[in-house]
Amino acid sequence: MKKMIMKRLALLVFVVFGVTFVSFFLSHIIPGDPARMMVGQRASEETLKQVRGQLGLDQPVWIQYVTYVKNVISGDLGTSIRTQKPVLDDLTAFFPATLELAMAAFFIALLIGIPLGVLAAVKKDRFWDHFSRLFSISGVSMPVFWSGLIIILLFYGYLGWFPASGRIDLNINPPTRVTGFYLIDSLLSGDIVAFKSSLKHILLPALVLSYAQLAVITRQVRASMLEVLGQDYIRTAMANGIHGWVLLYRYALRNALIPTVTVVGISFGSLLGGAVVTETIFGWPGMGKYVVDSISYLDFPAIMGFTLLISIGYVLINLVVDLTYYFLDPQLRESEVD
Amino acid sequence: MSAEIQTVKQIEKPITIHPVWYKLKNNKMTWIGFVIIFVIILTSLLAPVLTSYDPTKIYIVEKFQGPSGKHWFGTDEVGRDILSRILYGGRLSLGMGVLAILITAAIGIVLGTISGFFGGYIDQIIMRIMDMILAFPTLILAMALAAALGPSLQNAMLAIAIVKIPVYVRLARSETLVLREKLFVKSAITFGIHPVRIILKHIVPNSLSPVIIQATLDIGDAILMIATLGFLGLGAQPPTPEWGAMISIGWKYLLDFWWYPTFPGIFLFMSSCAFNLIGDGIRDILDPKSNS
Amino acid sequence: MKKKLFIWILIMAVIAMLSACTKNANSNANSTKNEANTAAEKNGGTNDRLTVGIMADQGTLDPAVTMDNSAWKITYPAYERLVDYDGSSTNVKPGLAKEWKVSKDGKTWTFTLNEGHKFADGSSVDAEAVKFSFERLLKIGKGPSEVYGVISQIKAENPTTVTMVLKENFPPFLSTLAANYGNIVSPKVKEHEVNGDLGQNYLANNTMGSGPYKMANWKKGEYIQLGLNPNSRVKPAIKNVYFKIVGDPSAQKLQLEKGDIDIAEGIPVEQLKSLKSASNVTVLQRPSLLVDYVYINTSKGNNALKNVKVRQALNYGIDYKSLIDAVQQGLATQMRGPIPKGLWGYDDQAKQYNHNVDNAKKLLADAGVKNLTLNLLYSDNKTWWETEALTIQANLAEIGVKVKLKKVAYAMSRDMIDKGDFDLALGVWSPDFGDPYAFLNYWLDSKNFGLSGNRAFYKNTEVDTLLHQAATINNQRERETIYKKVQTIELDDAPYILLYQKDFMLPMSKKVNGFTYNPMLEGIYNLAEISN
Repeated sequence: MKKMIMKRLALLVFVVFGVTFVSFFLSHIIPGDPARMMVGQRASEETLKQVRGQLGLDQPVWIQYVTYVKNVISGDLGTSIRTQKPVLDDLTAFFPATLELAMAAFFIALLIGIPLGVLAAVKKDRFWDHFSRLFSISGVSMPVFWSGLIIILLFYGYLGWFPASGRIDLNINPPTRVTGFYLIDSLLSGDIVAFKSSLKHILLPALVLSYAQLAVITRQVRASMLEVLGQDYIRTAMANGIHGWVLLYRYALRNALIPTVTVVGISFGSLLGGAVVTETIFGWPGMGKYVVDSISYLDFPAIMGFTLLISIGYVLINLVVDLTYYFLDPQLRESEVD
Repeated sequence: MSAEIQTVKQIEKPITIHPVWYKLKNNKMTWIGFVIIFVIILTSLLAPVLTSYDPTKIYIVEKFQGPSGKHWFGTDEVGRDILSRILYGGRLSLGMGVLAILITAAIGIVLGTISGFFGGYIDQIIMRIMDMILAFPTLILAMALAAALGPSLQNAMLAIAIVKIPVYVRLARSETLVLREKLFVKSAITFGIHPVRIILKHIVPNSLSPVIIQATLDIGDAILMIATLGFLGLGAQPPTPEWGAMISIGWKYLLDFWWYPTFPGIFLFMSSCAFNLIGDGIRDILDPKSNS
Repeated sequence: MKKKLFIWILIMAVIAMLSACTKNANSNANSTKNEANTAAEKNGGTNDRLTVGIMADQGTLDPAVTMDNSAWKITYPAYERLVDYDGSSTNVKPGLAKEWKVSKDGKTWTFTLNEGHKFADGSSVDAEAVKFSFERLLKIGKGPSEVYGVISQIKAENPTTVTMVLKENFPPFLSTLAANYGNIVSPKVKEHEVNGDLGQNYLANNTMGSGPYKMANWKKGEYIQLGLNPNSRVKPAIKNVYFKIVGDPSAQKLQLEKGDIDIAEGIPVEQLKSLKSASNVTVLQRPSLLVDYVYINTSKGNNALKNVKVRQALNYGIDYKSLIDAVQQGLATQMRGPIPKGLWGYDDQAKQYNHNVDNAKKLLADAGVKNLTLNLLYSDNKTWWETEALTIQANLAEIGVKVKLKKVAYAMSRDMIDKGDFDLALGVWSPDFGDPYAFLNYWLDSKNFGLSGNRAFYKNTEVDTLLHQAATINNQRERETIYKKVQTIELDDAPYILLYQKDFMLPMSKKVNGFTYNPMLEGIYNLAEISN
């Protein structure tokens, strides 16, 4: 296991250098002068020169890169061209909201996806199988803006049950920050009003986001359930008179979940990066919109900061997946003992 | 005796030779997928016959007309017929999506088999680069590549192809690792047959099925990504009809002119759905593990 | 056992990821917690609150740094300036300064300050504070410093007298002081200085002015809340202003109709018509100074564009009326000369190009140009540009000019415009100060090539001389005559296709009263006079 962790951490270093390298040099190929964007359109050459100096843009590219990496290592991601604020501040302000939404969506997707997958496997080629297939595949294929707006029209515009945007009501102050997740923080501080309000706000966007992720989980659970159900020990268990839910839960599902963890872990990564449209429609204060705006502005310090964060997150999630895999699968552990 | 053999053959034949066909026949969902794709491809190829409107011709006076006998799917913000734009756009969106995935799959197989077959340093280098590409947020990398290559539809396609390679490399590599241990490959190596020949003759054909499954599942996604890049000004340049661009512009008119984003949206949804159904179906059929 | 481990690992992973991001969290949210909660309970969302739906979060709020006028709606009400725009006109009235004198050569301005104005931090607004603000801005040396580059010296004679000495006569100077750049910042910002940044980091997220409002709470990506400045003598009816970020136009429209927001900034013009039928919503319409036009690259683009006849032909090739209908739903007026209506110097006798296909074709034939293909550059910066580009493409096709559309990212388009890498390009312009200088000197002076203003790369020595002359005399009548002459030459030389002057459209709840639109302060609200 140590070897695996070491390998992952080595990969982390490699990824950080690779990602900064690629994005840094891309940023110099693509036209768009950061100093120009910063000073506004009517600035003179002298002002421009001064700002270029401040940004270090008058240095050769190699030196700029080395400086950038040095700064990154010491925790400084540079200053955003668009917001003219430190990138790290911007990202830390937006990241918890994105993570909270992604995790809520993930939770819902698991909650619906696993039973749906099991059902599809047990009732293979019958109504529930077809239903689960159609339902989950329609989720991946539907443009998010579409499902998002329909759900807003229905639950906000027509029924008025849920708010249309934001994380919490304007006149309710967010709970004291511990984790950055409103749902958890409000519970920790015992603020039920804030908890209710943030739950109401997160429900619709999380539903929409989870719908798009459902297919991966459902299809994977179904496939591995089918595989497990066809194996000898299940047949033996059946022969021994173990039936129904006990069989499904105790024997089949637990083993079927092992391969699911891998797929699910990777899909969580894409969930983090893919919340962009959902965040725009629901006015969710996450990184998605920040990044889209930065792209249109060619705000490379911001784009690179975001990329770096997601890439590191990706490697860490993989590490977590590997570890869970390791703990769930006894064979892996035994093989290492040998 | 001969009669006995005859009957055994007759019984065996339909089961061993046509299991794929047999399963496919019973998989209604996959068929639905095939039919949808067929219809969409057919209509976009027949676009000039089916509609008399020029997809790029502007009639300002007729802007934002709702669906009617004249314009079945209504008109857009400069009075272009939405139906004709969808039909012509289908050629582009589907064509580019499929092409992008074909390129990806081809490169992926080559790199994956090389990596798996030779192992060692080559394997390490290829796989670490793939890890790095995987770690990048997909859209950002595609965007950066498209921007670096210069904004055009071809470059957007290429960018998507590059971004999607790692999955295919991994699939092809793990298949190759299994195949390399098989007797027929080992004997081919012992006989001193050239590795390129072994890869092309034995490994590639035998590792194709997971790649095909993945490719079918990815086409829908590729179409969506082309659309997104187009939205960011890095894909098809206006006035080229393209589904993604139509949706991203029409999106903000949803409340007042619902038909504008809705019809291209339905087409995008249907084709993405259809490709996914096909991919899912093929997986069921080809994947030996799901045979219970 | 296995399951527990699994759960523990998940929890650990989450905590690890979170601890990384909570470390740097700015925690100003806590301090206002109780205050806001009780306020909410007391009034239960009554009328001392105003909610404005905006499209995107803001960048830095430092008046010495920001060049983004969407940030000014936050900063403008939080600061005061020496002078202010008067009501809805482009003229100035006293602000912090009760009176001012200018020397005969126009180089020395002396301001006498009102007494009793106080910053939100309690210190008083005196001559030193004024001196500090301008010196800080110039020292930081970012975008806004360009506007005040003309200042050579600022002297605080006594607590109520400030003298500013200019390097050269600059007639629009007074008007620039009423813009957001002229905000007076409290010298106490020095206490927030980090690594010699003159407090830039602090002011990026906070306000330190003497205006009626101050920054109360900024939930990134969600809303920006302004509260009252306790030291201000103005007592506004609206005590809390929320700028709520709703990035999706359809969502904004729904929320406005349901009364969750009072003012909606992000609704496209095409959807305003249906909004007018909603019983609780009204749409304000005023002529603005924002103009939309096409740059014709006269020296670095297609060679044919060097020929004045080709440029005139392009001007005749546009069907202005149907373009305005198509792009702005008729909510705009065709321009007449570069100076928009509503600003002094506007010439109602100036020549206006009309749609004349025959004339255009003839001019092209005279110029000996055949099969002309031009590219048209634009970006996603303005939502209506796509429609506009398509319409222009269709219009020019009728006179035999083929237009290839080139849509790129905003930053890229600015770079290409600066370098002159285009044939035609779409652009908008709005003045920074209420003076024709803000249009003519930027657009036509050959020393302003590129992004700074002369985006047509147009050079005419006679125009240059006239413009320099107009920039150094203080008599408005004389300047008006010169500018009239410049406009006539411009219209003949046709380095731009002058399209239209846009109407300002603002959908708001019928309950909102007292809003005054000033074309110099587009997107800025006179919050202190509004009630809800």
